[in-house]
Amino acid sequence: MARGQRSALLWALVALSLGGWLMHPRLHPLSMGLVMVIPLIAASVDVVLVTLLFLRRETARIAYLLNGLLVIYGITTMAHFGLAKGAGVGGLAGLAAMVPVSFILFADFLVGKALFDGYWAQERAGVKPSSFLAPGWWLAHFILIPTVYAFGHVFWK
Amino acid sequence: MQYFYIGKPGWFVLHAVAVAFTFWLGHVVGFGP
Repeated sequence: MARGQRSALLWALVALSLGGWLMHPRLHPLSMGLVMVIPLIAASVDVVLVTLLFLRRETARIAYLLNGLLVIYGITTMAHFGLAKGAGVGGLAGLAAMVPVSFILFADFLVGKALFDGYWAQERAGVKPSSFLAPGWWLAHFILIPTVYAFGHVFWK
Repeated sequence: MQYFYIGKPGWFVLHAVAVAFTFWLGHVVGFGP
């Protein structure tokens, strides 16, 4: 991957995560509850740590893993928020209101994937791909993480 | 090719921590129903 392409992707990653960081305090100020600090922590990790880890090939896989997991947790908690309070009504209408922002997070994941693939394209050539961090692995975790989260919400009162 | 190698014990410990964290997160995030 050309150096210019990589820096463009890194800036795209910073822009997407910084946009998320800046958007949350306007939509859900901390006065709504301490729980609103979670998106700020997650977005801070995304802006600073994930970006730094993506700078080096050796740590890019950790960055990709962390970035993808933050996206899954972000979509999960936003879907929960949507069902509970989204669009002021909650329910399916509230859930639907979270779809646009979930697409922004999905774009953040794909930018991370492009960065990761750029670093690992040569190593992958001619080698049987591992199932780890492959689309099936992500899909499984995209199903399992919200399931465990929902169990925690429903059964741990 | 493996991106990480943590062995079977590492895998179990990591997943136990991850499941516990996610379960706790579902509990602690009090958006409502």
